[in-house]
Amino acid sequence: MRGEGSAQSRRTARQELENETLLARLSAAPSPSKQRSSLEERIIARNIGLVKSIAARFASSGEPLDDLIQAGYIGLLNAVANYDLARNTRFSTYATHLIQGEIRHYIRDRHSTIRVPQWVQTMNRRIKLAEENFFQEHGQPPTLRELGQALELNEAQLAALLRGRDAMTYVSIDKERRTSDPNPSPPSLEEILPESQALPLDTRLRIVAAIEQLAAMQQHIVQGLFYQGKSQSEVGEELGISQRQVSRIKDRALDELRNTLLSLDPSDRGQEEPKEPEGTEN
Amino acid sequence: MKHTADVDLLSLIGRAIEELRLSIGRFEDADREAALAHLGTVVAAIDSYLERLDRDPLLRLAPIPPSEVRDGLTRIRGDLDEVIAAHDAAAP
Repeated sequence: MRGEGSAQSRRTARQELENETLLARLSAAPSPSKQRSSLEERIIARNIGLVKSIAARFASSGEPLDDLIQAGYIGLLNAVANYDLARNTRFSTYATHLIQGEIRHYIRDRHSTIRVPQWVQTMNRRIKLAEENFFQEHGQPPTLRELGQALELNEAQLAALLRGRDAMTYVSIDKERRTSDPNPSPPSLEEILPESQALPLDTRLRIVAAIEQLAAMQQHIVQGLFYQGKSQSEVGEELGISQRQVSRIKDRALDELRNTLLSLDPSDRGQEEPKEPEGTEN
Repeated sequence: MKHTADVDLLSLIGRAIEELRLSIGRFEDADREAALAHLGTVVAAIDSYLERLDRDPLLRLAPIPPSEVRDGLTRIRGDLDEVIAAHDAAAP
């Protein structure tokens, strides 16, 4: 047994050495470059087993193992992007921390009653979707650069987003760390991405999140109009208006909906302003 | 977007989405004032609608619980308010 243990230790030590060696080369590689992408891929491939073993520890959460692995994979990407050789922390230690954080973050999102800001949820959903699409198309997980391309972000921005997700985990669920900072504030992406932009990313995500919520509400209402509900006469009686008025209101609302759905992308419309509403009959 | 007190929910949503898209466009054009004006219009329209939500026939035809709609719109309004406040605070 001792012999097996020693062999395992040697293997682990060799892997650590190779991780750190690859990461040293990565930090020296120009960005973007093929060399950099290749190094990232090698580091990720070398450590995907770590993601699987950590994800297995969370099997009792009730979430599918594949989903936990996917969440953990984001943590690994984050670790590769942000590992600092100068800190003298082993990469596996650092990566384990971030992989666990992502998996806990994922589980928390599925089960928690804590309200996560909409822009964070939107960001998480987009990262997950981009990762899934890439995997389906290429049969392997994306590198940081490839994930960034899919999300129309450069590597620095994506790395900052992933750091922001980790910070959000810290704010929301990491009780042990919270004891040393009981009232941490969630970071904004403006803090994370200090460069000046006409449309900061968190503003865009918040507005997009509002659009998505409104669209979901719109869909809910349309389904209700066609598949359930009271009669127009009943509603007219309740509101003190005629059945005909109710019918007109419904028809006009559906016309508005159709116009909205058929409208061009606003970026194609230059300075066009929205239409003024008409009056209603009730 | 005129936020009269007689807009039904579907119309409100359709026009709010359009305003929000326009707001993104103005931000991208670096016209922050116009972008915030679009956001402010949506907030005002939601406020106006919330005052008369119980009189909207569409909610009864659907039917969608008014409390659900109120909560959803209030949440969206709050998010947009935060965006406006953040940009107001950052204004030179």
